[in-house]
Amino acid sequence: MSLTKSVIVDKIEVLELGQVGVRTATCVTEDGVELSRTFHRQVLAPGDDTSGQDGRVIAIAQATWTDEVVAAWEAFTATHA
Amino acid sequence: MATAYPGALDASNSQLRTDISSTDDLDASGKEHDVMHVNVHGAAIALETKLGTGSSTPVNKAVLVGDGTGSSAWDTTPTIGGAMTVEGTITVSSGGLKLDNQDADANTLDSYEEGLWTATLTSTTSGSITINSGFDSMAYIRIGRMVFIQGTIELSSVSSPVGTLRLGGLPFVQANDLTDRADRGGGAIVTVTELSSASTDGVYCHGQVNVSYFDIIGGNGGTANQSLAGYVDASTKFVVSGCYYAAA
Repeated sequence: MSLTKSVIVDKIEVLELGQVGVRTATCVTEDGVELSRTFHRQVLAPGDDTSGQDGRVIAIAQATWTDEVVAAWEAFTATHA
Repeated sequence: MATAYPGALDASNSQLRTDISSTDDLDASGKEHDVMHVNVHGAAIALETKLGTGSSTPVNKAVLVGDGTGSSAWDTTPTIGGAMTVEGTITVSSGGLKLDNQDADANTLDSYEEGLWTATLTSTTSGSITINSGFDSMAYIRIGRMVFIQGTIELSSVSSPVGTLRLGGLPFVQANDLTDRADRGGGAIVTVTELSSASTDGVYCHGQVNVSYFDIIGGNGGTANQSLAGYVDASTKFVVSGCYYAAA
């Protein structure tokens, strides 16, 4: 019997204004059979600090967050603050 | 391709006899060896025809469904006519569950998820608010587009916070596609205790479209929209329990 715990980013979503939704799954398996899977969610807004994020999240954020997208987000939040 | 059923079990008219014993004469009328062979083989071929041959005749990911008029066919979009019991997990990989016999998006349950999110508190003008890391995990359940959240936040320190008090880290972005201000929730999601001033009351959450935070506002009696960050100190606690509408 071998229990294994793994933490993976299992879903990355890019929203209309460039926010990146990230779902992190913590999986526990026994001899390859999944016993449990729990989720953690967060949303990164354009321009947010991505240090410590999964490499794929960083890559997607960098590709999505062009200067125009970040500027549009800042304008949006300024309007709605 | 639909395949016709026989009108009755082949055994009923002696085509496929089950009453032949080891001592019977296999040339006797009705039990002829060659006839029985032909009947059995014919039945086997009929079954193969119905169930399919090779890897393509039984359509991929289809079930065999009868139509009640003497035929059946492999079907990838079957309609089950009665109650169905599944003693395991049903996984819907896409599309969701269409309820109430309706095909509209408004009748489709296409999301259910439980999990945790990590709360943040910020003061929008200046200063900072630090949450005790042992009290920053919050729970969520998303059913369709409605997100239910709850948890309790305790602080470890503050550093001269000024401005609007903002609860961030929500697990999903708030909606921005409903009529008028139907997509702006909030209200009594957060209760704040032990603010440094008793003059602030009527604390409520103010939802914003397209963002993953709520602003926590003080009603201050008859004066709305009082900024609260300046009233927060290390002993302030936040009890979160409520729901909001998420972006599609």
